Amino acid sequence: MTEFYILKELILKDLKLSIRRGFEVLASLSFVLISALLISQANLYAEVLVPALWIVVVFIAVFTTTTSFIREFDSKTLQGLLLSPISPQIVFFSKVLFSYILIVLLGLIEILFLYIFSGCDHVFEVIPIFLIFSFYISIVSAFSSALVMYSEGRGFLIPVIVFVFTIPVIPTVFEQRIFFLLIETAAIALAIFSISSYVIEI
Amino acid sequence: MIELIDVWKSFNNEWVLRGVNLEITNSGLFVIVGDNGSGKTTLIKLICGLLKPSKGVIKVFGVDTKKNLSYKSRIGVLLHENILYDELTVWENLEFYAKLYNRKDISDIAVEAFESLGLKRFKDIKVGELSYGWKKRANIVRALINDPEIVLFDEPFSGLDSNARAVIDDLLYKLSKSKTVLITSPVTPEIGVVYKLYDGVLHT
Repeated sequence: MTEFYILKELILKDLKLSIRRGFEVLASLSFVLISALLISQANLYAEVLVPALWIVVVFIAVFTTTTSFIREFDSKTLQGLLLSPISPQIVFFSKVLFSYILIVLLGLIEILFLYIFSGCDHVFEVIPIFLIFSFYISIVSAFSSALVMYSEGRGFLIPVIVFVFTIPVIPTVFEQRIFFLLIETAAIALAIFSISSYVIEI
Repeated sequence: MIELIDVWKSFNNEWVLRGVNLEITNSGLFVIVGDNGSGKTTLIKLICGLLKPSKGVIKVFGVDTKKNLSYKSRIGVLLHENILYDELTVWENLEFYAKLYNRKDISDIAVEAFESLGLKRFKDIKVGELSYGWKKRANIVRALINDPEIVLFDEPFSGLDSNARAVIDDLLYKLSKSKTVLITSPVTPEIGVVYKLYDGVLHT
């Protein structure tokens, strides 16, 4: 119960920080709007429109890495969290859920804009798999952020790590095999959560 | 309360601390004095668990800090760096950290420090808009939100004006009556039990 309460407070804090950084909200919304407009203008078939959506989701995940551990590390506030009597796994899980909220929100706006601009209602059919894929990529995003926060070359490393971790599930996502994606998400969650505390600790 | 047994710490194959032994069993004011780069901050970060020793054992409340996190709810730490969120107000930060310690309100001692340090008028100001000295004062209050039994302050006087120094001096003296207060300082203070740290070795 206490863990749930702390988790809620950590996520609320991250959401509050994001909202107060107005330029970040504006930048991410602009990206979603422009990408939806460009993809729609290309007159793509539904078979291509949906994969284009997955690419945008991966880019959103790359964006969320900077709002995750990297921001906490740069502003030294990660030390404040680690000084508190909360386990590093809770901190990590809060970052995963925060990334998930961001990715799902921005992804749903992307889907809505794609529908408005292209008129293709096929994009709504992928929402269930989008919700699972978003969780998978949220774990990858938080993990990448924690992994590279100490590195000077993180600007280059983040997209590489996110793409490398995403490649194994691309066929599953494209073929929209929900059950297999669930298994792959559970597997990566288990693997990453078990090592998360070692990665976060300074 | 605090026990360091043959603690060594290295960074980039260079030993910063060499076989440090320290045992503090009672309340009072304890001061680690050392020059810049002598390892004072490293020592504080090792005790509070932000760093792990390369060799040796650190026990706080009899618990090995590598194995158990429970001691963290009973210590209060002030670091050199501002660990408050720039986008949140001073009060929002304190409330947030209090929740992490599973407290509904910040402790009485923190409220007292909040008022005596003159932070009341900055309560609703974002931390990012404060000067270094005011940020430091807010961080001091943050370190006391859980009414800790052990207080670890890394150079609490640096970057502060004489008024603030006097207030913190009083605060530390008051805290040391009932708590274990361990601070670091580049200069030898007039009160407290002094340990000197040089060449990575702690001398009593």
